Amino acid sequence: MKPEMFTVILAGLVHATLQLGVGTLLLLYHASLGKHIKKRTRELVTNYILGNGLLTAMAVAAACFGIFVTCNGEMNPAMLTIVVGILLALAVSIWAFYYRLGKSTELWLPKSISRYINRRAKLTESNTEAFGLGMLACFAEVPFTLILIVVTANSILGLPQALQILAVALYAILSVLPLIVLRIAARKGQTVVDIQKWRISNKNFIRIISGTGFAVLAAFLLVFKILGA
Amino acid sequence: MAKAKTERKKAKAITFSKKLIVKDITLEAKILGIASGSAEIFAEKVAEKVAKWAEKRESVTEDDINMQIAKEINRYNKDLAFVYKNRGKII
Repeated sequence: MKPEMFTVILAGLVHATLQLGVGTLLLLYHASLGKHIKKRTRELVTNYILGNGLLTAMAVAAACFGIFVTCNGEMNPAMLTIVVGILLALAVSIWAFYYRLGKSTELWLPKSISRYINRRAKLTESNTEAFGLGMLACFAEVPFTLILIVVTANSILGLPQALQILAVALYAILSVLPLIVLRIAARKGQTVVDIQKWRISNKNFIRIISGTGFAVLAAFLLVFKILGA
Repeated sequence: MAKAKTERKKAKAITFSKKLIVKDITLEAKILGIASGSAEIFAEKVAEKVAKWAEKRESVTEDDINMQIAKEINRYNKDLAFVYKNRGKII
C-alpha cells in the first residue's frame, strides 16, 4: 500500500475516535425516541450521519483544492514540520483535556456550545434539521479535525487521479464509521443508556487511543514525508 | 459599557412544577421502553418526594432537581436514574 493511502486511512481512523459526533448522535437518538416512532428516529439518524459525512468529504475536497492552489499540489517539508508539531500538540491536548474531569463523557467544548447542540438535538424534527445537526457536529469539532483534513488532503494529492475521489470517500466513510456502528447497535436493541454506560467505562481507553493516533500520524509524516523526502 | 459586557447573563427562573416532573419521568420511561402503567405509578411517588425536598429550599437549579430525581428513582429503575444523573453531560 502506498504511504499516501495509509495516511488517509490512519487520519480517517483518528478522526473516527473523536467523540462529539457520537455524543450528538446519542442526544438526537434519545430526544427523537421520545417524540417519534423508531422508524422515524432511524431516518433522522441516517440524515444526521449523511450530514456529518458529507461535510467531512466537502472539507477534504476543499482542503485538496486549497493545497493544490497555494502549494502547487504538495506541501513542502517546512510546512509539513509545522503540521507535525500541531499534530503532536493536539495529541497532548487530547490526553490532557479533551474530556472534562468526572464520571461523564463531557468534552472540551464551551458550555454554551454544548448546550446549544443539546437544544438543537432536542428540537430536531425533520430530516433537513437532522442533516444540519450532523453538519453542525462536524463543524464544532474543527479545532481537532482541521489538521487531520489538511494531512489527508495533502496525501490525496499525491495519489493517482483515479484514486483521489475514492480516497476522499474513504476518509469520509471512516470518519463516520462509529456513527454507523452506533446506528446498527441501536437497531439491534441497544439503548442509549447501554451505549452511554459503555462510553463512560471506556472513556480513558478512547482518550489514549485518540491521542496516540494523533502522535502516530505525526511520527508517520515525519518518517515518510519529511525525513524520507 | 465594559461593565455591562462582563455581567453574567441571568438564568431564566421557572416555577417548580410536580406535574412537569411526572410528565418528564413518564416520557423518559417511554424512551427506555418501561411499561407506561408502572412508570406512571413511580413517577407520581418520585415527584411527590422531590416536591417535598424542594419545598424546604428557596431556590433550586435544574441540575439539583435532576440529581434529586435520580436519587429517588434509583430504587425503581437504575437505567432511568442513570439518564437523570447524566443529563447535560453527554457532550
